[in-house]
Amino acid sequence: MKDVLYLIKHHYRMELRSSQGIAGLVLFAIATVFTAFQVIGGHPDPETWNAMAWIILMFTSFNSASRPLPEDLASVRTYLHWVVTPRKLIIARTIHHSSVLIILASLLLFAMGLFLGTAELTSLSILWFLVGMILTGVALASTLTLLAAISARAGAGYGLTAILGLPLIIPVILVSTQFGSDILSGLTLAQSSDNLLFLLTLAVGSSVFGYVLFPYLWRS
Amino acid sequence: MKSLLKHSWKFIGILLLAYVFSMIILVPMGPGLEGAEVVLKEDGELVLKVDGFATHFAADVTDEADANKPTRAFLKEFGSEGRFIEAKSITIQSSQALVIKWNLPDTLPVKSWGLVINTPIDGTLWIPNVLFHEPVIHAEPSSSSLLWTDINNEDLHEQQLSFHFPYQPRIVESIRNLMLHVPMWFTMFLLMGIGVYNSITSLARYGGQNQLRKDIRAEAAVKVGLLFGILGLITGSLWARFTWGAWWVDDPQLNGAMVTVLVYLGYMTLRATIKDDELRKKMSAVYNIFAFVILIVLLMILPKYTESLHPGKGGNPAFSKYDLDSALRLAFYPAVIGWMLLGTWMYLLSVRLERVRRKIRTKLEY
Repeated sequence: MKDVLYLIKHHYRMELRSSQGIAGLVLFAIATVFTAFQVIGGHPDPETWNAMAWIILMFTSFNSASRPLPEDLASVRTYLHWVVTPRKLIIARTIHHSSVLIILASLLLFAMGLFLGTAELTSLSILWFLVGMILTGVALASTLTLLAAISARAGAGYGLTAILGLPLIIPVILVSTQFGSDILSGLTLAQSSDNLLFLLTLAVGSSVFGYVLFPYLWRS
Repeated sequence: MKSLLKHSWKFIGILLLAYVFSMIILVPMGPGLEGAEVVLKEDGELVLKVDGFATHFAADVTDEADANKPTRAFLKEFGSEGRFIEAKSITIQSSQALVIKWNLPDTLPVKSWGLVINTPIDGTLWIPNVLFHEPVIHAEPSSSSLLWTDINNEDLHEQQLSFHFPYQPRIVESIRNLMLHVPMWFTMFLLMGIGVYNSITSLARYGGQNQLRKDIRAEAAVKVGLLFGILGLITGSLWARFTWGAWWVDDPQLNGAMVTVLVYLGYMTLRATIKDDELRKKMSAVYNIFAFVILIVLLMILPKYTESLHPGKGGNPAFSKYDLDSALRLAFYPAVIGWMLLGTWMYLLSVRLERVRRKIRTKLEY
């Protein structure tokens, strides 16, 4: 546990030390929303707004997953191999990646509200939408962390993460879009809680998979 | 002799498929009612023009017991315990067309009526919702004793037809695709199962050279499984065009199938990018396990809980619900076994091919 906490702290420290990484992600998300605003030239209708929100979140998560991590360097991996078990590392990575995506999702929703309007959401339902975005971020993070590790080990970079990841996250995106349009059409959180439960299951399921399978990727 | 026995399952597979293909081509379609059109409905008189599919309304009846009994037609009240109103007269226009007349009271107790026809050769045929009657008064019509007919089963004809596939509305002749489309997915499931089994065992800690063999098996299984998956998509798309009117519809089952194929194409891409055998084994095994779980979620769990057009999913019954003990089973089960045997054979060949390739590659390197 202590090791995991230390690793998470270490990840944050690395993130802040080379802050252009996270700054680039934030810029990407906000610039995409702004571009969408420029292209549409106003506030889109709720269905488009919903689709846009999830698709931008999806691409942001891909960007975030395919950043090169310091541990992917062969020398750093050899060092870590001696000091921590791979399971601790994957837990730390997943938590770190999820927290990054939670921050990005909140910023994304803020930017959407600023440029593209709130699609007739009330202040309460915006909160619910945010809950959905956060859970989606966690589900995406837990799937993509493992896939990013695979493609980093394969030495193929961004393209491979997208090829491997896009089909696998379609269930997540389908459920989130359903949740989003439920909220937009005026259902309450309780009425759409099935979707949230399903997202949670997907998040937990893929985290468990990462936990079980990551050591096989790490060992060499 | 021994090797003949050892390989007999391959011959069985080929024979089964030959049997299935001859069934697909040769077995005729059974009779059914395509639709009924209200020609006239006024002054207590109703005239329906009925179109049959592969029916024999005008054929000569050879059996004497049947020849004495006429063709009969009934309107059937909506509901499982619906009562019947017998037709006044039936005019046979051709083997596929009937014109039927009824005398009806002005008001009837229900709105929706089905049509039941009993003919000497085709037996009993039925089609729901041919007539929507207004006004509806939920009480017995005044002349109810004249209206309802009690049907005595002994007065009705049994079907006199030889072996045929059952008629299904809208699906009609394309029911033959059942023997191609569905077994493709079953075979894909089998092969992906073999693939994921080999992937899991190839990750075991101690295995040495044996693990790389398992990796070859996993790859071969996924490769052949992917071929069957793509064939399943193509046959499914053709079927959708015929029955639903579009090559592709937005449906969880169809999208799940497409995503599954994409996931396995990702697996093949992953394998192609890694040069080192040991690393490729590990990476692709991990991804394959992930992919198999997604396959289960997308094709077996998710479509069951969402609305779907696809038979057997989203509350729709599968075909067997309609056709218990029908001719379809005699073709369908052999088709499933035959395609699975063929898929397994292709998989074994693919494994041998890859082993030979690797042997040649190592020979060339030295």
